[in-house]
Amino acid sequence: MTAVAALPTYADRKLEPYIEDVVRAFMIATIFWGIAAFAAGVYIALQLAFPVLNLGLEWTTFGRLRPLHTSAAIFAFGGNALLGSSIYVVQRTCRARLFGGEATGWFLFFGYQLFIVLAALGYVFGVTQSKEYAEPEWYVDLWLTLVWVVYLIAFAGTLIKREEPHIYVANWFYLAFIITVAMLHIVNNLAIPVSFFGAKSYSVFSGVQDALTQWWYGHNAVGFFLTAGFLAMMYYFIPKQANRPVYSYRLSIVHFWSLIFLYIWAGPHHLHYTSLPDWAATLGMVFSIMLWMPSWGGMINGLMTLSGAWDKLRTDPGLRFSVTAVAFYGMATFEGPVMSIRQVNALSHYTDWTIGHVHSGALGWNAFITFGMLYYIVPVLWKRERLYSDKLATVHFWIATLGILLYITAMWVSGIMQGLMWRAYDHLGFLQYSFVETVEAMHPFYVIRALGGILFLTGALIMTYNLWRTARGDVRAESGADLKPAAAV
Amino acid sequence: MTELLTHYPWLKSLWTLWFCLLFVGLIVWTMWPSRRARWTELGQIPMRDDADRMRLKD
Repeated sequence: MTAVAALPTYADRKLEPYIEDVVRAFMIATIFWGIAAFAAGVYIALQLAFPVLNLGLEWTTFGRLRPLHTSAAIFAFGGNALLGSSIYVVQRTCRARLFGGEATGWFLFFGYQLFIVLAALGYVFGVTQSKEYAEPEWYVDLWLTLVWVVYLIAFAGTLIKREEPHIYVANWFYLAFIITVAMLHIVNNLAIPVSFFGAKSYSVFSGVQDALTQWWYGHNAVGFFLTAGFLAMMYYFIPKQANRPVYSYRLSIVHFWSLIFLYIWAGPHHLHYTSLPDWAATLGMVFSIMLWMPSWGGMINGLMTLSGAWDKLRTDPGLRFSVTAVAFYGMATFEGPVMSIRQVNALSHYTDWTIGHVHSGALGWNAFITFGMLYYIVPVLWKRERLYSDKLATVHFWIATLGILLYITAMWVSGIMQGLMWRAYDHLGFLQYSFVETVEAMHPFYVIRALGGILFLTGALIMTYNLWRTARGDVRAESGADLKPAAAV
Repeated sequence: MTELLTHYPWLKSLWTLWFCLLFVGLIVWTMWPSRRARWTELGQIPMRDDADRMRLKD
């Protein structure tokens, strides 16, 4: 087996520098779309509490703005964070410049932003194909396919020309994310346009095959976009922030292969009590339960990286975000398999519990690991010694955490109440509540949820200000900025 | 041809066996005690990535 390459001396070799301008652009886009996604979320949360905010216009109804919000959060905010961070990480851990150079990088950046804008316009104007998280019509799908293939070539090309003999585990996770998303996107969007110049198309699948394909796509978008991709961030940025290698590199390999082998089968748990055969739904449920093991293995690996450096949590607010994200990852991946069990799903499905679960993952895990990454990467990319203000980052941390807690607790109570009300019978065997009574009962929780969202958005705005000042090179005079941990007695 | 078709159902299930063997093989290979030191060494890769390289630009 070859030994790990000794650190080459770049000074006496004519090596091209890594591409960072593109990464900087991706980080700005991440923040921009993040704010847009959170703001849209707050607005539709308020719409649910106060329906008058639908404004009586077709473009601003909940039905159109809700997918706008989910796509903005997942594909615009999350997608830019993933593309940008992967370009950063793959170059550094391979010690190679991005394959295809600046031009490819900029094509990826602008190509991906164009996809986001086309998708968003489709949502608002009602040009969609009724597939959750895959709403854009065929012309947008084709464009994304092109951008994604270029992304795969650039990423894989960088791996191939690497100077580091071993491919670091973060890149395995990024590569799994890129390949699987390509496969999911292409298969789920197979469709026949009605006309050459029209936007409308029909899926090649119908009936229960369509449903199964859709949730094979949908759940693996969670598994490979929102999990594998963001785990790649965890495996690079937490060691960098804590300044120590991952707790167990061996465990990270086991984590990787277990996720890859198990996740792809879990999708049918979205289709309990439907026309999908029971055995298929049971298969999905069993694989979901098995996912507990890799998920918690990965969580332990992320958290234990801090062992011996826990004091850094007090002094590095960026690391605090990353570590809290891993804790939320553990919590959401515990809750998910529980909800996939048929009997639990009978209560939870179609209720707000699902929305709460999704947001403990999206806000707690995806957004927090991204914030942690941003607080680390912005000073590095803009060549600054430190953040403009650690205190503002700390305020962001607490305000956002409080927002998430309000959000998910409100949705737990609201969702379980909603599920119980739907299934309540009176002594004559009639349903005890009408649908509108459940909606009425949920009103206070909708207000609390919107409040949680407002806190989360406020935190993100504070972060934006802090990072903008950091990029400009400002440093805020703060007492206790150089806090040292007390010596152990 | 018909002979092959009659065997198709159980031949198909070989995929399950192959995937299980592949997975178990991967885990055993990864966890093999003699590889431990090498894994620990590889975990250091992000720690050694270089700020130097970017200075070449200036």
